[in-house]
Amino acid sequence: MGENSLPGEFDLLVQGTGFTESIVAAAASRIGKTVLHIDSNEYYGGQWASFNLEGFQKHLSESPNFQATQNWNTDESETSEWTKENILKTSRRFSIDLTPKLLFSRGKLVKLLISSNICRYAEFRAADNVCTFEESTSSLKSVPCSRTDVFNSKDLTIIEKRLLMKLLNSFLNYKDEEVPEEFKNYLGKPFLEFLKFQRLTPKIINNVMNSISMCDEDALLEEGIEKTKNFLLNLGFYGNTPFLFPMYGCGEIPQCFCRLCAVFGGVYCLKKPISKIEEKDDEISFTTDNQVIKAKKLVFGSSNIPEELLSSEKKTDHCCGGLSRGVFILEKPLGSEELNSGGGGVNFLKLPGGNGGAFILQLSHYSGTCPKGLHLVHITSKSSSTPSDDLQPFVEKLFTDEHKPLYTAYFTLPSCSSKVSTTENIVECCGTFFELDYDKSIENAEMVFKKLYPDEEFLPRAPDPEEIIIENEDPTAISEHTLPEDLKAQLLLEESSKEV
Amino acid sequence: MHGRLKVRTSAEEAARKKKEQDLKVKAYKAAMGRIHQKRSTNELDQEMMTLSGQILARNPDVFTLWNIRKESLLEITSSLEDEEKQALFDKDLGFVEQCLMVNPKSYGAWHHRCWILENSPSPNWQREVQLCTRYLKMDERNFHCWDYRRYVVNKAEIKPDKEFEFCTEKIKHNFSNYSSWHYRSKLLPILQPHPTVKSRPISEDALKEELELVLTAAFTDPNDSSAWFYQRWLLGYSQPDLDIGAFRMSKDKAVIAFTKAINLKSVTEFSLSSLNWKSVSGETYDNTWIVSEASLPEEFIGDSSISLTFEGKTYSLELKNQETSVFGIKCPKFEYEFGAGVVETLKAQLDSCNELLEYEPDSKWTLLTASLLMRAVDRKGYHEKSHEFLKKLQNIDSNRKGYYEDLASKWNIEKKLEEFIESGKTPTTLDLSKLNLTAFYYEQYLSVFDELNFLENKITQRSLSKLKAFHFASKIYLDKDIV
Amino acid sequence: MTTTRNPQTLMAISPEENFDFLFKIVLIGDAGTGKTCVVSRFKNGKYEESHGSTIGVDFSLKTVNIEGKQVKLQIWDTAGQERFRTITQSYYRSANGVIIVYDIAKRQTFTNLQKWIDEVRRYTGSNVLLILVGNKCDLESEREVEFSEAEAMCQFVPEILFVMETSAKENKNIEDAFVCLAAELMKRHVGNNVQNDENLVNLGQGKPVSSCSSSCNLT
Repeated sequence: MGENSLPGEFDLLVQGTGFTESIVAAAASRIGKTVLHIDSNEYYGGQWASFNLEGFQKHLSESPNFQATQNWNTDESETSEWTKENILKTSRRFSIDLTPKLLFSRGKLVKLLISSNICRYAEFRAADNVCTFEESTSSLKSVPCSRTDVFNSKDLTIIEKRLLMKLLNSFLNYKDEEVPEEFKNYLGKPFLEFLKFQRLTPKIINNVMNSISMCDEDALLEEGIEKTKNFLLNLGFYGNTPFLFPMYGCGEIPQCFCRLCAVFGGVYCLKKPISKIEEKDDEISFTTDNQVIKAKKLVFGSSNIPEELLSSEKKTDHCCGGLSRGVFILEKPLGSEELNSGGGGVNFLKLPGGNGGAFILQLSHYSGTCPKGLHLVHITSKSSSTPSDDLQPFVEKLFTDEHKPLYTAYFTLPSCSSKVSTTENIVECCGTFFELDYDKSIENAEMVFKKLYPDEEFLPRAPDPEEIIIENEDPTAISEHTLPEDLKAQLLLEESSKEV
Repeated sequence: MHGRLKVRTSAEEAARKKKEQDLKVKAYKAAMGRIHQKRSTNELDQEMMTLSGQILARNPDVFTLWNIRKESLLEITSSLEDEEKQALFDKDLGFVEQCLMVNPKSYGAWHHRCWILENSPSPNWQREVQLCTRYLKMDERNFHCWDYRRYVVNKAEIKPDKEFEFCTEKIKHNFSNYSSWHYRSKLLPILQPHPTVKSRPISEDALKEELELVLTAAFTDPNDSSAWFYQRWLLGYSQPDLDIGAFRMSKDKAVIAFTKAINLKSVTEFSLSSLNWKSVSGETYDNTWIVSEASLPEEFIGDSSISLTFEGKTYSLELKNQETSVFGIKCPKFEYEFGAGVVETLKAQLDSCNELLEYEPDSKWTLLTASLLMRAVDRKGYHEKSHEFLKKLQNIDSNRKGYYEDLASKWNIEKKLEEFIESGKTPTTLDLSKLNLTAFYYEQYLSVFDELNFLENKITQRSLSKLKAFHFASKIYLDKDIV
Repeated sequence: MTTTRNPQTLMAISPEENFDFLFKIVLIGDAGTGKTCVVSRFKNGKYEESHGSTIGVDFSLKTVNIEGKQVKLQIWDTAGQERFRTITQSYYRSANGVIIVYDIAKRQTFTNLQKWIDEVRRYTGSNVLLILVGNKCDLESEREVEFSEAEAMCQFVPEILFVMETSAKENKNIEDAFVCLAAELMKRHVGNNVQNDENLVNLGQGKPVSSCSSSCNLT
């Protein structure tokens, strides 16, 4: 084979390097399938990619289906530190996520990363604060969620501290088998109604409703219990919140799966569009750079699938995409100095509102996603009209005169095709979902994998290098070469004493 | 296919581990053998340092090796100038740190560290404090490190306020930490002593702040006992100032009782020092001292007070002359007498407890705190209410029933004693019946009464040893069925 | 952090071998320059003739002793992603050292160096150390790159610490290249030992239990 040509045949072609399809590629490679993983873009990640500032601007302007608008509002006076030019000079320090997320520290993705041993490719930062928006003062407050936070909080009276701790413990100890008296009468009724009956203060109700459980107003008690409990069970592993954020942005995550795929022999090409896809006798052939390649199965990333491969049958449960996104660059971060002590970190806020409200993430340079001195704010909501209209209520609340964004961008993340593909061997993955963590996307990836390889294990643990037997080596041997120096020295003593 | 992944089976891995382990054992034995051989010929040289180091780096708990290391280090450095000596000691400090990384709770390693510093020509104590800070960050409950910290802080002459800051930081991070609360209770009396009252460990302002901090901890997690212990320390009154508590003398016997144990043999300027005083317990220090001789000096009956000097301070007690004896008693201090500011804080805290009890009527911790706060705020006024809480606690926290009963006994005896003293009566009889008493308290004060009535109580066997303090009692009424 | 002990020898069996420093080193450079052979020679003391990386081997670990300190090196290979220049950014993240390998008998691998240097500049931290390795110096008769050219290049690229010619096949300079890099890394990291940024979380590494005691549970 020539230097730049590819092998002619693969078990699986994965087109698109977004989160979901990267998991599928890794999982297939891991069980020994030959995988060709390509992307027509010159970057990894598809809708899950991160860009530097220039790349981000370019990407928005070149993606017609994003409905993107961008706007600079910098102070161009001579004394100003952050003029447009100065900000653009730091472009490479930015890593702006199309799809920003937080991981529950014992959530589905973390568990998957650990169980598959992919965790060694990524680093995380524990989120610093879970915030709430206090209407009375129009300001952001940190929500005390761990025991340490509650102890140190200055926003709660000692009675409130006791009540909150007691309430949280009652959720934590809640068991379906023995429903405690105080819960019984409210099962099947709104969570909010239950909280209101518990003789709690409005502050506690607001914290539990909007920040801890992140429930919508009409959520039932059962959902409230589950979500609160989940939040609490994820506390205490890292830092003072239940969340982790990937260093350098969420765009790193799909790449971790790609790395695993490559380590197990997957072949990677970017900037490689494919054409002429044909299916014949259980085998698919396609053309890329004038080379015809065969593959037994084919997976497309969200909305990459060509029209002609779609049937007229509608997908059931089609709920990805349709997200309105806002990206803002600030000089003065949102929230008090205390919330951003030491230069800020990763602060999270869930704002209630119609249609599920919005997730808001504020990132400082400690997250590796923006230069020191600037802050990046991401807002995500479900879309119902233009992204800027959808996000307007949240933007008005957050960005007061003090916190005017220097740069503002709005865009929409589209969903995958609404129709099922023409054949079993071609599958399209879903796009991004309106969820904080990656649970639905992982379910989707697992579902796609099971469809292709129903009897195979999904991402079993990848062995550590030390466990792997190289070539013809004796599997029980230990190489003296790799023994620590001090042991080698001691063993020499043994030999020398024998000689004596 | 080329290079299809092969992974060791668990059996193969175990076999490999075993081989590795065998090799390690072999290496260990070889090194130990060599060490013993060298020691027998007193070769305390660099090789000894290397060998002991190699083993200790993996097993920091082999005590003999630490000793060998000390001997070797002394031997090697014996002829060196200070500068070179220091360099070698510093190197060994680096080595100990490596061992502490393997096991931060290794007695041997921490101990060796102290030894190095004590023997260094110019120890850098500051660096040691920083080391502690680092290790306590990894494990804030590592008591080895807390102990070591107190030792080096002292040497480094770190100001207590800096340490107090550190301590506060640790508590903010995790208040379930006996070590840091304890350290606090040692630092505060230095930093903020009470300006006038010696027995009060800390000033009223500091006390107010500490009370709030600890109540916050306790409300956040009532099940955490470390905060609770600290609160007891703040409110508690375990060591009263020395004073004469009571005195009585008749023709054939005498008793002098003190607020706390004292060696009566070492008092001066005591007009009755010639008498044959004996401690009730037979110990050198006791709070009750008695004389039981056929005839006592007649001329003394008639004095209006007694006084004595102990460790440079004079104590006295007013006496009353009665028909057959002289007698005096001073009401004991049952609690601290807090200033108005602290009382306000305590009242506010009591209000918080009461408010909480509306939400959680059976919260045992709140009930106990509330009853203690009531005593501190207004002992007499809240007597009934605080007993009611203790009663409740005996039911809902039956595991500690005995503790609550003893506490109630103490409070009841306090009340009776106080009532008697305020009445100004002669100590003929004290009725302590029907009080649900389980134990005796203030027995040194009870020593002056002719008659003590403990009927219809629940006095336990373990308290009976205190009976011998009741020196004047010709009649003691006790229930028959003492267990 | 607790240690388990062998009851017979009382030897501590620590979960991992003890070390003073841990550095991540990544290898890059064109396909076919012998990166995998370089690693394998260093790690196992062997030269493996076969081409292509062994499936599933992600990185190699090797501890070297430098001035009495145990320095653990975690050496990452490209997993074939260099072939179409699709190395993920995440590969470069948190690398302490980068080794760029070229083939002295293949000029193209040398002229491509600038592209690799650009990638390093783009994706690694500012304090990363970079060395240049001209591999296959056993192929003297086929040499297409003079050592002086590589040295000249270093003059223009300040990030490059040094350049060295090696042969994985004949075990020439391999150990030296790694040890020199490790020694330099150690020199720059003295004082801030094994733990670097305490806020960084690495998953699945069995955090010491004690360090999560602050807020482990609510009860």
